[in-house]
Amino acid sequence: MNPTDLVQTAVSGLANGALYAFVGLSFSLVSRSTGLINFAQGDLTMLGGMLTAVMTEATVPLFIAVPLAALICAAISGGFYYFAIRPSTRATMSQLVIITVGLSILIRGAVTSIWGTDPRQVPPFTAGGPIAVGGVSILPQQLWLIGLLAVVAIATTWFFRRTVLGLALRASSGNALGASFVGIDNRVLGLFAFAAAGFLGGLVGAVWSPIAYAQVDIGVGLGIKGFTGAMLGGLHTAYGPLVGGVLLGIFEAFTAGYVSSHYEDALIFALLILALLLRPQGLLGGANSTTQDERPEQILSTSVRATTFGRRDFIGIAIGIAVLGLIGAVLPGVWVSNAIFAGIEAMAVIGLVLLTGFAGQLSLGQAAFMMIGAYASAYLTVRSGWPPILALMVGAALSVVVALALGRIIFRLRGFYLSMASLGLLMIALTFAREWYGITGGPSGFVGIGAFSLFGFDLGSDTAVYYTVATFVVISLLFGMSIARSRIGRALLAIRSSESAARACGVDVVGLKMRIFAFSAATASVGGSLYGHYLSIVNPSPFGLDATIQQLTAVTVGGFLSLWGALAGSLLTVALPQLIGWVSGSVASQFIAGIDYIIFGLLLIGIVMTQSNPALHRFRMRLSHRGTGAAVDAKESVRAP
Amino acid sequence: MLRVRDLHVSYGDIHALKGVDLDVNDGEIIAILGPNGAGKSTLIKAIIGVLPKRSGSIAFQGRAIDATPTAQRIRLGLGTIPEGRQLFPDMSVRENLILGAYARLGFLIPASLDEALEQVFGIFPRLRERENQLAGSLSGGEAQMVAVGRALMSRPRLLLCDEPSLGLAPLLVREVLATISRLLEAGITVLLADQNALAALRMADRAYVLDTGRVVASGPSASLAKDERLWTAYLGSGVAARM
Repeated sequence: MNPTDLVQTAVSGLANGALYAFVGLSFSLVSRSTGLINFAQGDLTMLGGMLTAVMTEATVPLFIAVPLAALICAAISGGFYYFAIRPSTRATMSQLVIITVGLSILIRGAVTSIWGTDPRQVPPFTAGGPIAVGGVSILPQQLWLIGLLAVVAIATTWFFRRTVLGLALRASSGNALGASFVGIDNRVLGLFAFAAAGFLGGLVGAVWSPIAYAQVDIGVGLGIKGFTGAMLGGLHTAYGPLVGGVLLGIFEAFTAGYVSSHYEDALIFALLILALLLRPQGLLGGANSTTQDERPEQILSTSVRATTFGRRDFIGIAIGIAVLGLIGAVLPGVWVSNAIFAGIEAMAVIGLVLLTGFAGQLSLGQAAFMMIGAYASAYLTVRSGWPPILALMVGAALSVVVALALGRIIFRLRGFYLSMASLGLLMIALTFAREWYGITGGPSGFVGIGAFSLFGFDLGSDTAVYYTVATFVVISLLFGMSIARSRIGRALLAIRSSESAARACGVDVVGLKMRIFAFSAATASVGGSLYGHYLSIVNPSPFGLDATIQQLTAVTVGGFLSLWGALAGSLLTVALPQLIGWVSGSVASQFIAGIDYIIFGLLLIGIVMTQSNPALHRFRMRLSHRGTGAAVDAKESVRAP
Repeated sequence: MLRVRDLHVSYGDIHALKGVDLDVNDGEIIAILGPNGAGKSTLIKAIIGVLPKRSGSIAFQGRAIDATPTAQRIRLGLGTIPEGRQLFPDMSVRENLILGAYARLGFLIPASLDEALEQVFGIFPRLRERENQLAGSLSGGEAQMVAVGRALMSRPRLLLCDEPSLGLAPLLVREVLATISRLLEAGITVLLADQNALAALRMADRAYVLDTGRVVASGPSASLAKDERLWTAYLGSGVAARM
């Protein structure tokens, strides 16, 4: 490698680094003032680029389009804080993650249904080709981006040192209670931070869009990379997000240029997980910073929950099996395949209910285990000629091994960090699925997988597949229930309310989380195997972020603590696209996908808001008191771990 | 000056204050006594507005302040030295002091604030030496000075002190109490919540005894020191009779 190439790589890395620095700064602003990680941050940046693209296509001059795009993003972000987050005072960490994921999906859905998924071009701010300086060429637009970063860096320094609002933000992030004693209103800071983060995100999206394209899909990756940069440099430091973002951009350019352009994303997400583990306070962070959020996970539900197997459970299971059996016999053909997909999704959702609902650990990476199961089944049955059931079991075992290995790493983290790390893991898995041709067949996937069979019986007809899936679902449900209704279930609820208290009572916190994570990995993996056999093809696309979002919505709709709700939620989320098609009479898949996302997003935000708004909560308590007698309160306080 | 009537405050399902009445007159030192968990800190948090009340009324200088945000209460003349000091550890002493005046500041830090800072440095010369040091690196006594100085930056007329001596060495306790006496000479009225009943009673004109969210006794310090109800609140009934 010659020196000119090195400089050239560094320069292009610097421009992308400026982008990540901006996104990271937005994360940092929000996190420092409210303690939240806004999972919609990357989508706000995407929206800024999209709005600029659409406006310039409508011949709006750039000097109007760019600020306007940033202001719209600021209004959306600030409005989201004011109307959705601020009233949700009873929300737990997991619920707050879900509510910001809801905004992320809502933005993606709106953009998809209005403008589609095609990339859009934005003209550069200044005309002319690349500027060459001693063999190194740089685009004028890259200079714009780097220049803007310099301006923002100076403005940030001034803001945090010389303005009262800046001091108040730092004070509140260091000691929120102390801040409220001197009259700082943390909600005002939250509104400001969300609006400013939206503005910065939208602005950089607008400035960056001429370099790449404006496209709906870039939001998530951008979000994770910006967050990674901020974590590298120090999320809660003044310059950490800027330094970390620039370093990440340069790191990315060099890995793509000199190590592997296929696995660069996987390397970046691996870097995120490493950073979270080894130096959570960041390169510039002092020793005091912490990644442990102190917000207690409150009890989501106020109704009394059975904690032992009772007669009602046996009756419920008997009815459930009867209903599932009957459905298979009477369901019209088109609906059988919906029921199969719902059952497959339910396999993942059942694990998620235990992991998120009971143990309070919000993983966004469950689809990775479906992927492991699907590819293991595909590879072992097609290439090695194994019987499907054996391949399925090996896939599940492999998932458990991976889950245990990863669990050791990610369960040292809590709250937002865990969700972000698991999302990073999913991205790594997706990269491998796309790039590791020898095993996975690359983006086009693995074709020619035979139908599922057991002891030589071919179970390929839709009805047979339905009963196979239903059987696995019932087995998982029984497993899940026996965990939920045992002392493990009670211990999990204890972990969710207070990890330290649970530990003090002798609960093996990490061990239990690992076991539940392994269980959820195994069920998801079996679901993935069945998926592969049913479709006879496995490729990476169904296991991406869409699957995660669908599962998350299913858990939220079904109720975090309800295993039966997992089935209902899965059915709803699987059937929703078709319902939208019927209702709207549209067959345009992009439109349906967009509306689908909008509904998912609204569901996530709406459900969490009603669960965590104190006024609504009291109202529901009154309703339930009327229904089941006023003893609920007393019982709950006795049973609450 | 301060008038609290039938104040109820709760944290979730825990009913922490169950109808507290309290009066503070201009120029008085009032002590709030009571064991751990009696509701002393809750009362102070409700008066400054960090905790919302459930019912009842709070009036300051004849004005109802129940629904007023904390910043506005501070502008009206309330100040706090909170329990555990609640400084901003990763900010400098100077920045901590500036934030004491937060309630009356605009967007930029005005040059006129130097005067108020000089006054605080006049009272605590040690803080001038530590001006640019991080508050988190100070000793307990120095941190307490910052807490007092930060409260003074808002120019309070009624200072709410929550356990100012907690966690300090006995020698420093005396120093803190002496500082509070000095504040009184400067025309600041003081409401002092303290577990250390004897020390607080020695300073205070009048005192209230709180027990599990209710005022169980009140009156001039001298007579309250001999009141059985004070000892009952700390030690439980029956113990006082044997003393």
